[in-house]
Amino acid sequence: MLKMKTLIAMGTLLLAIVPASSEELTVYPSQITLSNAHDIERLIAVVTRPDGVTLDVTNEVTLAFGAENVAAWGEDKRLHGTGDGETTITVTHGDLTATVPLVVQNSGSVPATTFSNDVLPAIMRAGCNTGACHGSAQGKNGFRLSLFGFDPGYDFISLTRDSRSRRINAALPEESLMLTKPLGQVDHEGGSVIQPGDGLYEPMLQWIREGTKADPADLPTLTNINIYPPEAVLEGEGSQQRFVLMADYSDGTTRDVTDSTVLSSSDELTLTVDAAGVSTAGGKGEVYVMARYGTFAVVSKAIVIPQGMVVEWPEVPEKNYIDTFVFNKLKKLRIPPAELCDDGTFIRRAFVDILGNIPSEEETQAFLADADPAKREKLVDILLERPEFVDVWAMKWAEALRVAEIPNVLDRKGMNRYNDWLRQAISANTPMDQLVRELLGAKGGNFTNPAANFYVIERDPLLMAENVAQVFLGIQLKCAQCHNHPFERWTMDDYYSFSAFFAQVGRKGSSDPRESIIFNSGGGEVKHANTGQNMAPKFLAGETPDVAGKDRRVVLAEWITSPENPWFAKNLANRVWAHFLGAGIVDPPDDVRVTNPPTNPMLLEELGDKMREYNYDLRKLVRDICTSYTYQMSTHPRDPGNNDARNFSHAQVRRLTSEQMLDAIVKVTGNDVKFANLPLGATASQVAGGESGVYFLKVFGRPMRETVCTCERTGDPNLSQSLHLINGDTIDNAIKGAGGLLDSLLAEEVPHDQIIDRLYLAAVSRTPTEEEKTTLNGYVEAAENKREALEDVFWSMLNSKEFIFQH
Amino acid sequence: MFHDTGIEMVSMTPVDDKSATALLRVAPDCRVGTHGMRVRTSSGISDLEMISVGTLTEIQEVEPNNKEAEAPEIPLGTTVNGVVTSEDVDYYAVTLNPGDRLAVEVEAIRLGGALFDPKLRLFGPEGHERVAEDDTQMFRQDAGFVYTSTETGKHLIAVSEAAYRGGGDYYYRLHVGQFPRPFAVTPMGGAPGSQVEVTWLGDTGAGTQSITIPENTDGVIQLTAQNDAGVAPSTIPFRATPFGGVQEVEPNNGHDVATQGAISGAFDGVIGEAGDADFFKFEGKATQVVEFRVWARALGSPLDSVLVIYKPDGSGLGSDDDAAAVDSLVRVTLPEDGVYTLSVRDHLNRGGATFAYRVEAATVEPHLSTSLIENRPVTTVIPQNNYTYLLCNVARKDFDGPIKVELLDLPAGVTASSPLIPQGQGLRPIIIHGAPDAAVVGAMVDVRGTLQQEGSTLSGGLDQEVRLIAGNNDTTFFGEKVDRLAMAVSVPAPFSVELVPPTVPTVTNTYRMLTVKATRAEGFTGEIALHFPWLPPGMGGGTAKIPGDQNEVEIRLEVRNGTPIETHEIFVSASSAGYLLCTPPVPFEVQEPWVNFTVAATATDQGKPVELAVNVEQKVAYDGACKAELIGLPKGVTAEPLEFTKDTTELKFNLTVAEDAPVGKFEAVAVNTVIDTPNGTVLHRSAPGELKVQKPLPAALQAQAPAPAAEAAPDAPKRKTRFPTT
Repeated sequence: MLKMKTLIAMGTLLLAIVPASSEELTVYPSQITLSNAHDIERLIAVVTRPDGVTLDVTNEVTLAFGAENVAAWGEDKRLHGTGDGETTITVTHGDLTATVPLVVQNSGSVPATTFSNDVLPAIMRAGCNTGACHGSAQGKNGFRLSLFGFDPGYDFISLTRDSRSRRINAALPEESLMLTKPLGQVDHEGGSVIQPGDGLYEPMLQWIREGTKADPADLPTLTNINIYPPEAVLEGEGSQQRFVLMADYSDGTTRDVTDSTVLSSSDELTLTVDAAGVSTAGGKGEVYVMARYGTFAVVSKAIVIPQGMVVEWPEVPEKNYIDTFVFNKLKKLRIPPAELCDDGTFIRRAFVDILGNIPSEEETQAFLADADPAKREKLVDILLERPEFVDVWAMKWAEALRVAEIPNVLDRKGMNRYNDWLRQAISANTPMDQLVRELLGAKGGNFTNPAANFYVIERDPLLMAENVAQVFLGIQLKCAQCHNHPFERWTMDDYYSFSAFFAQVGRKGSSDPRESIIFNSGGGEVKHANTGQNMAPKFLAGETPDVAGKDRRVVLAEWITSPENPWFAKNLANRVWAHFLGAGIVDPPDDVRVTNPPTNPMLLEELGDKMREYNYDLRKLVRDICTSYTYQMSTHPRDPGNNDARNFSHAQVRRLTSEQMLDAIVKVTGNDVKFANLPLGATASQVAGGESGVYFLKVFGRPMRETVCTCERTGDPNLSQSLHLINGDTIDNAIKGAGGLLDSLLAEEVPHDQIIDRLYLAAVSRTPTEEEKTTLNGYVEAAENKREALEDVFWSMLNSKEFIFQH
Repeated sequence: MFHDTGIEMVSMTPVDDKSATALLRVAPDCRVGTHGMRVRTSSGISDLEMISVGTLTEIQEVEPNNKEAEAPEIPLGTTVNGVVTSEDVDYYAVTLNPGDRLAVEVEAIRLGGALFDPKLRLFGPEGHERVAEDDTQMFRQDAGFVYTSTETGKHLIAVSEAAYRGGGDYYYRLHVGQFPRPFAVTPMGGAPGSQVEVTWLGDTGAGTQSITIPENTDGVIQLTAQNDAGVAPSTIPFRATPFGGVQEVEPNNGHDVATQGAISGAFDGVIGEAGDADFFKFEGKATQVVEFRVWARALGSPLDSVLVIYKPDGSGLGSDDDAAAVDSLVRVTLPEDGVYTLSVRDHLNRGGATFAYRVEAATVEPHLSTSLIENRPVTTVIPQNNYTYLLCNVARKDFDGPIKVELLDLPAGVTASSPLIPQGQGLRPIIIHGAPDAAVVGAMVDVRGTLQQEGSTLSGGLDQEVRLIAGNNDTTFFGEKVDRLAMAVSVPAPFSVELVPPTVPTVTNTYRMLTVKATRAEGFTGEIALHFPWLPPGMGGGTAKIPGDQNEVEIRLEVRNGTPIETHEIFVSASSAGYLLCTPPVPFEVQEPWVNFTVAATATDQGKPVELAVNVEQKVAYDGACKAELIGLPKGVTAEPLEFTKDTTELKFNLTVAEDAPVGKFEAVAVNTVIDTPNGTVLHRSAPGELKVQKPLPAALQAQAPAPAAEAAPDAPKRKTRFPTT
């Protein structure tokens, strides 16, 4: 609870309308070590106002050193060591002070220039090793570098040995092609990318002067990078904030690497950042400053608010912890949450999200008539126990696990077994961690133990590892198969050592030719693509476990589902969240990376904690989400200019998924659709595989389950969809079908105006407005053929945005 | 025609042109379960079909029965013959009281019709699912279960396809009763003539049964479980081996408590629970070669065996998981005299009441079997007064030697060649002849191979699976093994063919066009497709068709270098109107070339004539002058043919080379010649030589070359070099 309290305090602090407490001065980095004569480090000072706005006061502060002749603060706002020693720096801004410990070592020693720590960062910052330039697989104009420097050994050879060493001129270092090309002094298709004095040219030149030496074996390696300040709130267009990048090395030293870091902004309209790390605010918004150095990438979050903006915070109840976290974030952003949606909207939304279909007329009427103030909570509880909930989540997992009939790989029987296994697990409320352990550790025939299908569908250890990382941890490792991930920390070593958990999956035939038996073969390794070395299984960003004599997959499953795993619970929670709110806190949910940070990390953390606290009970988490104020907000933002789509300030209008839409059409019209391999009366969300045999589902983006990626399901509109809704046979057959809703109402001779009311209740969970009543009744009364006229009305309703969209 | 005993045809009555009904008599002692059967007519023979014999009251499914409420009540002791259509579920009701025993078995895949993988479910009176059984290992994809009721009232049995497939040919037989329904047996084998007390596994009500193994059996036989409660609807396979064996004595889960057995002999047991392993010990002598073979999954046990053989000191000697398709097989040479141990466990360390196994340990014996290639149904039709053929392959295991293949038990008036298949080779054709007066009958023919070696009596018959249900990629999903070829003598076919034997020898590295003549029945105008189904090594045959309005065609036969120099027998296959016939075999003599030409490597320039020398080596005398021509010359290069006689030693061809003849190396230049003899012509073709056509000398061209244009001044002043310009 401590975390929540702290956060509430922060939220309060940052709100403009809350009474002010004192300002705070923070100095970054919080501790400085200068390790040699060349070590020069930036220092930045930030004042945080009571309303949360941060001010870069680096130019305005004065520095006092606790001891003489240790360091100096230059005009360039950097610290230079002047003599060895330890002291503190006192930074003063008006009444505010802050102290920073300072250590200066080896101030007289000039370090050798190294390839990996000095030259390669400069090459990366200059952009030489990007995919469009020499980092492409074929290189460029005869010169190739490894993409983003994933293979320093190769790059060293490329520069110093290839083409008869013509890139280096040892006699006249300044004339080295390695310098004259990027300087633009000789023909260079990439143009002039470095300049003398820019901090990139110098280390390259110096390295050549020193004899292009290979790195010593004991060279300290980069272990981490940090960006300061970690977050910033800038007020008013044009306001500025410096950023500084500090690198940590394996020998414990740190270095200011801002000059050779690649910096970028996620939204140039909101914030720009220049090569020196100085950012400048633009329009209102939230933005991430991304920094890439070596194999690491980090981000700092910045919020830009208009000058002097004051927001009136409405009276909104915090129904549970979710609202607290969401509101706190909205307060920072100065966005008031939307109003609560009405009952008609709520029942439709809850039905569609929880059960995958819209409510019936009777269900809607009963709910609207219920006077119980807790009726929404009551409804959620009822829906969670209905069997359609199993359909929705079994389908979601079946999609992530690629449950589909695959010719010569997975027979329809195996597919059905796998699907039934998932359905039973969801139905029995099997904890998700247990499900994952059963899945990853599966052995036996894929007919007798359906979990073993996981290893039947995918046979390549590399793809298995990618899929497991993406589905259960939300991490996409694919890039690191061929090069270090450009926007994430994952290296090729990480990729192949994680894949090694799947190196020993044994397979053999069964007495049924359609069946495969999966077992732990106890032998087999995964080799690194560059080095050809066997890779020991290693957890992502974790230890190298002891797998001797064990089933590696079981070891991995234990790690993934352990409470210490930093991703698993959060990823599951975020997938659930994304289903109900239309966007993940990390979005898409299966692309967790440093450079795609969560929009509300505290909320994500809490949802992950809840997932564990609830013993991975899906229903409990869904209940929390659906009973929150956040879930029940209207789609209309309180501030009409608010176009926020990621901070949950109002509900998002979303097109129904293909299954939801088709099942809704069937439910409204009362005419069934036949799906392949399922009896008539089955719903679209019960289709076991990727192929449903129904064009409607395909055209509205039902995935064929060829990948585990959530991106395979598309909600994008296209012309075929519009044409199919307008002219296609799905809606036409459903409306006109004998024994359907309209047919029955006409047969019962219900008055036409009442038929229109009934159609409204069935399709959009409300009665028509007076205006709609007048128009539609007038249309029907004027028509000669009443049946056709009512069919037209029905058709219009099923083609209306109100029906097609979740709102 | 029946592949085994117990069923006979009483009468057959035609219904219309395309169908007939047959009345069959099933002997009281006929084995339960499926039997292979074919229908023969005066013109042919059908594919293999399965018919299932049971002991219960037979009824037909009556639709509708697709909903619980529609389930018809059936008495215990009933076999329902039904069909599962697409997404169909068939319900049947039985009334049970607490303690009542219910045995259910469905035959579907085993009927060999559609790829019908059935699923059985039993629901209690309140609608709760009590049993769900999909694949029962003993019944392949079929299912069976035994249930003891705890409730009173109407129980429902549901039959469906496991993946909701179905169709008009998805037939099933549902057996419902109180019969014994074991799912495995132990021991799983015994010696012919002996009496064995077997324990039925998987159904405690089935108990034990005393079985007498018939004399003169070998391999796998079928056992039927039966007791006072009835007869099981299908059999359980059982090994008949020349030796007996031991049954495990628990505990035997370690070296120190291994059950004593002997080799040659068998070791029987059950892996009763998960994690269990069974150990046996036996005396062995140094240099003994012993093959250990587990029988488990192949005979319907769920056990996925892993077999390990240990030396007397306890170290490993050999181990295996799946070498015998789905069971374990290890062959070892024992290194010393002593007490050896073997262990059996499940690959995934599973276990259960039906996880039975039998390890057979025996010295290695040679084995011979035959099979028919390109004959998936294992049938042949021989029309009266005609010829047909079979391609027979012999499989030798643990020996080599020449094999003579004969067709035994042929109908009267049918004769067949009995080829000798040389050592190391496997395939030969068998030519079958039907006499004009051969009776129109059927026969189950023994295709028997016999080793032609003094003192050996080794022989083997047909061992072939007939595909009943196809799987993916042209594989057999379900089939039935047959040991006899179903042969029918038919009324005369509407055509016959003969191959005209060549009157002169054919030399190697040439070809010969052979004439095939057809004799047609009046009015028969079918196109006849010809090919060589088998040829001696070195020969290659073409294909040809005799159009409907013709009776003769030529077919090409290549005689390559390396073809054995002897007189071979060749024949041509002919198919039309559903008949597969052939010509009578004819002699075909192959000789070495009578004259050898050697083409000298030659080079020239475009447009420059050249002389090409050919060395002539005379081997066999012949009369008169012959004409030699060059073949394989590039476009634009020509040479006039030259004459030669038996005395010529060299030929010189004058090549004219066009100005635009292609430049290059042409390596297929050869001499072609036809030697006329009084009996016919003998084609000769030399080994290829090389002709090189070059461009004329470049000096001549240089004189005409245009002066190079002056180079344009570079646009940019930037350096192109890494060297400084100052």
